[in-house]
Amino acid sequence: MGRLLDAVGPVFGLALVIGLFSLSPTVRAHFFTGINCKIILLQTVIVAIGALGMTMIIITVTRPPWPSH
Amino acid sequence: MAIALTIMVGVIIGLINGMIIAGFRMMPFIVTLGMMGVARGTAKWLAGNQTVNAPKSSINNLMDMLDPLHFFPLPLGVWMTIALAVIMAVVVQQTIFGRYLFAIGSNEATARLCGIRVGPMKVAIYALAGLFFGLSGLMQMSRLAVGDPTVAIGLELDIIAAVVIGGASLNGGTGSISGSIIGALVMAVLRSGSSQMNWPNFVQEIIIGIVIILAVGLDKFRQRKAAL
Repeated sequence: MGRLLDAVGPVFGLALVIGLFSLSPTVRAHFFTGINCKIILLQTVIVAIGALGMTMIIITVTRPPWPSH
Repeated sequence: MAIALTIMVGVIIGLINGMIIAGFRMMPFIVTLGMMGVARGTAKWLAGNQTVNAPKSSINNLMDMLDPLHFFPLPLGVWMTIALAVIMAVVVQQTIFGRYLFAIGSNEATARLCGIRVGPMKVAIYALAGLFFGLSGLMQMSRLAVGDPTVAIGLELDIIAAVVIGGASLNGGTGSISGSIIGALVMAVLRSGSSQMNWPNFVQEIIIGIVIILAVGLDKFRQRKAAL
């Protein structure tokens, strides 16, 4: 159950953010257009490639850089 | 040549980070933060504190919109990201290297006792991560069409937020490539949506700051629940 939640959680987060912005009629009008999706994908590239490396690093971090309680 | 050099610089900086972290058993957060200052300072020094105009080359095609009126064809950079994500997902989930990542993150001392050479593994991990950061820098340069040593300030927080939103724990031992990619999409949707709402830049910064705190708070909540 926990693993399922871990897998679905990020997708739920993405759906939530898209849903919240869709509440605005002005944004909704062109938020789901192909060209806007293309721009979002393009904007994702730089963070996504960095995140590939950062994922490996964060998985191996054993001690948080701040006190943990 | 420029592509190989940019990526190599990332790998070399990653190697140095890995060697300091593994060799002196120092906190990764502090070492990488310090190295970020060194790298940015060096970039500013080499660039003479201004942007560097590069002649138009194939690098500019990586982030070119191609047909700006239609979804397809997608830019080459998007296809490269998808391909790299698939490769890394297989590496992290299906290979011995991937198993070692989780073993070190779950309990470093136990991993060492199990025969994993933790030091060299960490150096390899930081070098490989440096390769991705170098490639990410190349994409940034492709998008801007100039080399700017002052660009992408704070992007490291976006990347950390993307990984944490994707389900990774800052205590180590958990995380997935697919989750991190979705986390990166969340960050891009947040920035795009904020722009379309005509929110000023400072509002975007506040929202993203809150999202980072929420993501880390959620991680803490998950850890506590798992410990019960």
